[in-house]
Amino acid sequence: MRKTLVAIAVAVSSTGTVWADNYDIDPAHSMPYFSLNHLGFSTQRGHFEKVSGKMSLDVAKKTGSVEITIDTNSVTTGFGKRDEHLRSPDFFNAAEYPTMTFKSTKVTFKGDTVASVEGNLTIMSTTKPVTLTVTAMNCGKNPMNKKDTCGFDATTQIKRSEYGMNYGVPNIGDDVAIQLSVEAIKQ
Amino acid sequence: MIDFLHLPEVQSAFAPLIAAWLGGWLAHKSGKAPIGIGVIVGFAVAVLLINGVDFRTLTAMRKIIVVGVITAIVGVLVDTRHTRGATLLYMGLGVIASLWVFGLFLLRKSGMEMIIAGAAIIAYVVWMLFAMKPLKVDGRRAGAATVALGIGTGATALMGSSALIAQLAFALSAAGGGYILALLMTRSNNAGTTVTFPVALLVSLMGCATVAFAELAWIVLVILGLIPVAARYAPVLEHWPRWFQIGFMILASLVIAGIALAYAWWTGGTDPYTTSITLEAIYA
Repeated sequence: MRKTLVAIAVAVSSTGTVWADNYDIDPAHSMPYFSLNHLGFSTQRGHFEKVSGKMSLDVAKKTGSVEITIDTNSVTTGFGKRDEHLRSPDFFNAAEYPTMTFKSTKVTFKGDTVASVEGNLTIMSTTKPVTLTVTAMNCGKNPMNKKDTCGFDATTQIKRSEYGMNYGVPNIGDDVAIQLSVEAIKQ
Repeated sequence: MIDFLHLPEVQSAFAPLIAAWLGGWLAHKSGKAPIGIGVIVGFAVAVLLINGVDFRTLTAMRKIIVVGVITAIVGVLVDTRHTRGATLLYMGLGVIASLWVFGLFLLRKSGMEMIIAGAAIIAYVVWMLFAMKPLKVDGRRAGAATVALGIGTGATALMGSSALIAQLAFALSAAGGGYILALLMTRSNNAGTTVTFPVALLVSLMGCATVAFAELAWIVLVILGLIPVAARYAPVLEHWPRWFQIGFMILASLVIAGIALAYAWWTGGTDPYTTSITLEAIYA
């Protein structure tokens, strides 16, 4: 019995880690932003206030996964009346489709850090593959709460019409840039 | 910068008006289709301009459009073949359409809330079918009801922050206007279920969508539901010119639409500024 435990300990120490670290997304420090063109005049921006999900990371094996759920009712642009319009059937139709999700299918590493995350983005029950380009990533102990934390910034671009959200296209831009800032706390 | 066909006044007013007028007139001249088909032609043109032919993501709004197409076909078939038990057919299709369009929305609710919402939706749809049915014998009144229902539903949808529903409802109203022009040109008074069935189902489903998905008070639907009654009983004298009779019927129906609009304005927590934002969205 003792020999078995020693063998496991040796195996763990030689591979770095056997199991991936699991994290819960911290809704207080995770925010998906979006921006799109308005009538050719300017770029308008907004974000979602309620985000949840989980991720796992195994740096040694260079594997990982991430699942993010976004509450479409929490869309905000800093102007309440416009937010009501964004929640209406013209755009997110939040009463019928209260959430949108991203589920990773492949995480690509560059060295010890994540370079990109491929996955499926589902908006209004339409699922399309997208690739998140990770622009920054860091894992470590949060100096405030002392919890192990991983965070990353990522960007991608989608065409909203491909998800059935084509109201106002092309006057209200079809191309939507997404900037994702996520922090997750180790379970 | 903005292409002509992307202008909302073209999509929701001029195009459906002209298409309905020409469609109705040509149908009447050919003698192969009821003049009321113009309403559906006009609405279909508006749908093509506003939504395109993209139905990959079948949202509730797109389901409403599909329902409009199906009911138009059913309406024409009933008119041309004098189908027995048509009333039962309308009501049955109305209930099925309501559950199909709002199924996902209703499933997201729980228990009593789901039952009440579902019952309210079905009640409004069935009432509208019931109230529009008698107008099938009088094209003037069916046309007036279509115009007022489209304007009433569209304007209150603007209050509820949905420019899409507003545009589609206004387009139906414009198509009703085109149909009236065709009636006046041909001296016909034909309406039939070709007009009343799809119009009743489209406006009732769009009204329910505004309450369910946007910010409209449900009582507004009760008021809008009285428009077909106003169109049916608007008192006109037979010696009045026909255009004046129709104008009076539209006016009487629009009074009800105006009351619904005022109520939405008063109770919906919305204000002219909200409406201006939604209007801006339409013009976007």
